[in-house]
Amino acid sequence: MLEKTDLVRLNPWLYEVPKGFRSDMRVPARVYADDALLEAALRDRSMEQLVNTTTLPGVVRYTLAMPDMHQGYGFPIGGVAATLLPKGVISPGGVGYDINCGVRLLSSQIRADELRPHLTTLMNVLFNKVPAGVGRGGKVHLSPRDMDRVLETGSRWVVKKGYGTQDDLDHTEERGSMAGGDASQVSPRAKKRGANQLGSLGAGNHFLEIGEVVEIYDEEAAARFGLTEGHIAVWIHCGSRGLGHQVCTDYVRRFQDAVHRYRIDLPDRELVCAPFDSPEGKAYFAAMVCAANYAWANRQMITHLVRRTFEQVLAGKVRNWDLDLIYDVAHNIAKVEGYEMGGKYLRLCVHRKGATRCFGPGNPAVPAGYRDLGQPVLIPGSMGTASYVLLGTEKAMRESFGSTCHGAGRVMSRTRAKKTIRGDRLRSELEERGIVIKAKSMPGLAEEAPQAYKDIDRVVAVVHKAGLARKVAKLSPMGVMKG
Amino acid sequence: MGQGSGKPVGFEELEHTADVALRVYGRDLQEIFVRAAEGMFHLIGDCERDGPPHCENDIRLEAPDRDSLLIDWLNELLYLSETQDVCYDAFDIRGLASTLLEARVGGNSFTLQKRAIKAATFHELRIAEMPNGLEVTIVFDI
Repeated sequence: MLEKTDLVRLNPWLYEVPKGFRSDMRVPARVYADDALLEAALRDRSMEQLVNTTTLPGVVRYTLAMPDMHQGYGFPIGGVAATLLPKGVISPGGVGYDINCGVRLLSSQIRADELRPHLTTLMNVLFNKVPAGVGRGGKVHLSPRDMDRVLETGSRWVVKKGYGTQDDLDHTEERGSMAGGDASQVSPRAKKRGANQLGSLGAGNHFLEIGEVVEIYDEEAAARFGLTEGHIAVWIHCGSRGLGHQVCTDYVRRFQDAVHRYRIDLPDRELVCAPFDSPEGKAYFAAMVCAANYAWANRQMITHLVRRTFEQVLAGKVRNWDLDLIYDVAHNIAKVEGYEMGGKYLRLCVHRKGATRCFGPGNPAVPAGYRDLGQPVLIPGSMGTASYVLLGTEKAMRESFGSTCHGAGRVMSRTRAKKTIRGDRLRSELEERGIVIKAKSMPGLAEEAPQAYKDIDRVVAVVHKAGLARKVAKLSPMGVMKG
Repeated sequence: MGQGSGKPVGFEELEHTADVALRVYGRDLQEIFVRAAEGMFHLIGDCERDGPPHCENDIRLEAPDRDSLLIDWLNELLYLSETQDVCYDAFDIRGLASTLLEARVGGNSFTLQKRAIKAATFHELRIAEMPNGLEVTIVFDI
């Protein structure tokens, strides 16, 4: 176990485990945290898992953990590791089983007080219309041909079918259709698991939430995003469902042999990897892109179901029930990105596992309408607590491979949460605060209780003060639907 | 041995911040495989117990070592369970060596689905020899 004394404090928000801490480290490991968050991180295995990521062949500069970090398997959650292409490795475990788990936020012109009388009905109908929970299928059954199109073109396929707009695509990371996907690299098993799950939330920490904008920190950016104090917005948090899980399972298994072939020695088998330009590396990247596209298509499909529900419930009751996509970000993904380091331009494979891309102003990957500001960064809090909209910064490009945190981050195990918190009591507590909760499973609800997570205000304060992202707006939940 | 009222013997759930970890005990490798499968389905939900299994599958797996074989076995069961909506509770291992497994598995519908398991992971995986048999800890991504 690491002790606090093993870390060097670089500034009030940044600590480093020096390269000499363990002989197999290729680079140092850094963590963004304040004192309290660092102590929380030292209580589980997350720091050790972070140090393990520094052993990946081709890793550059340092590996990073964000203030919401916690123990995972292989990589810690909240981890970022970049490897130098073409020989640096890609690791399926550095992306995780829920490939392109991510979040999108839709803005509205609906005032919270205007919605309040219809909130319960709206949540009931959403709960009925948007499939959620363990093993629940979606509204679409994909033929093999359509499956391949979803895998290679993502949200674009969904929009072509009439379930969204060009504006939705423009406001999605990678325009919802990441290049480099090859459906032939996705196993028939993965396709079978995904065939009837498009347009479904799934279970675990995934959710659909209606929030009220309660605080604005940057008037200009908030206005550009369509966020007005007192108005509501809709969060959608989910990923690539069984298809993504199977892609990761398939390649973690395949890479068990690859590490022997490339003579890669690792401290944990879940970190298995292969050189990016090797046949195995290329195949995984092509399959991962497909799963990422499936996830964007999934969130686009759910967006359509949410918009239809808003129309059904609110038409004639509010002035304007339109929902506009502000942005959609991935927080479990590997990307090929270019960074300037030591006066050279380097192509890197950036793994973000429970971390969000946060490109600064002027980057061509940021939607044209926001490019002068920077990329919108969406940070959902735990159930019943605040969520934040942030902006990517130039400093993040120089310091954190354009990455920041992704949420609150767990501190309590699911077993302990279930022992100490009762789902039905938690629901009544939240309902007393005026939050409408719809959940498929009460024990599942208890596992996701706010007490099981870190303080989101604190996590966001660290990335804001460290300069990785700056605060634009804060939202407070009104209605939450869980799988 | 992990033992709780009404729970099958041979496994216990351990604390893990975000995911679920299961420690599995067995007198031999075969028992480890059976108990790990029982433990995994115990985490997922409850199976319909009346009548014979309505779904049976034959499984044959090959892997480079016994640790990998265990993870393949669990992920195979997760795949079959999700695609056929079956809660497996009968695990008849017909052949098992460190790199090869043959089994017939049977199950019924779920009476309760508590959670979805995304995968069984290789994280710090090692089937260890203990004085009374074997022991392994498996971390599941949920």
